[in-house]
Amino acid sequence: MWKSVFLATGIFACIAGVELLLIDSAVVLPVDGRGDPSVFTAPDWAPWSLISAGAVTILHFCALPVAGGKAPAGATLPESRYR
Amino acid sequence: MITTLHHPSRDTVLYDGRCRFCRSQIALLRGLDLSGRLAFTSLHDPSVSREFPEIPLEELHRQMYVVDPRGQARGGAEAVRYLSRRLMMLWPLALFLHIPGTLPIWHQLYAFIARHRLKIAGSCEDGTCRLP
Repeated sequence: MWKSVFLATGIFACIAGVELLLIDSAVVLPVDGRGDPSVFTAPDWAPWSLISAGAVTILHFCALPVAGGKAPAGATLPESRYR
Repeated sequence: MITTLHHPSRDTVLYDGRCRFCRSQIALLRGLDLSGRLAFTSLHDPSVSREFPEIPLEELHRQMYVVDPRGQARGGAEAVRYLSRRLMMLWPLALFLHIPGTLPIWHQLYAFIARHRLKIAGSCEDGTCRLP
């Protein structure tokens, strides 16, 4: 499960970084529709940091062991309990 | 980060024009700057002290500075990071330089290379590469 979380977080960070790289600013509207919208402008380094952090997280996902571990050489698979 | 009153029309790289290693790196940057976004000025040029008096001369001798069109001057590793963002050819390097929390490492590495820049590239024939 944790492996999937790392992969999902990494991909999310990469996508968010690329999006920030493509836009200059974003207008955030209030959820309830009342009040003034706020303009969000990301710093220059933010997209690159997000992409880098996402890439590192995806690399960490690749380094994590597979759940259940690898079967030793020559071992036979147990019979299924669900026949 | 230092803010200057003078806003250059392009990103201006201030480097030590009497250092052989610095000049070779600037030649490399010129090659990578395909769209002509950067201007290069030696710190020994009289226009530097006239246009950017906010940046102390000792700082300019210690590390390279990049002044952007908004008048913000970045030095050392931050300048390299900024250039890696600006030049498309350096985008693969930007991914490494922007890993969160690694800026102190790049600062140390930059300071080490800057301190030993004369040993790396050798001495100049006319002796002008010596540090003041």
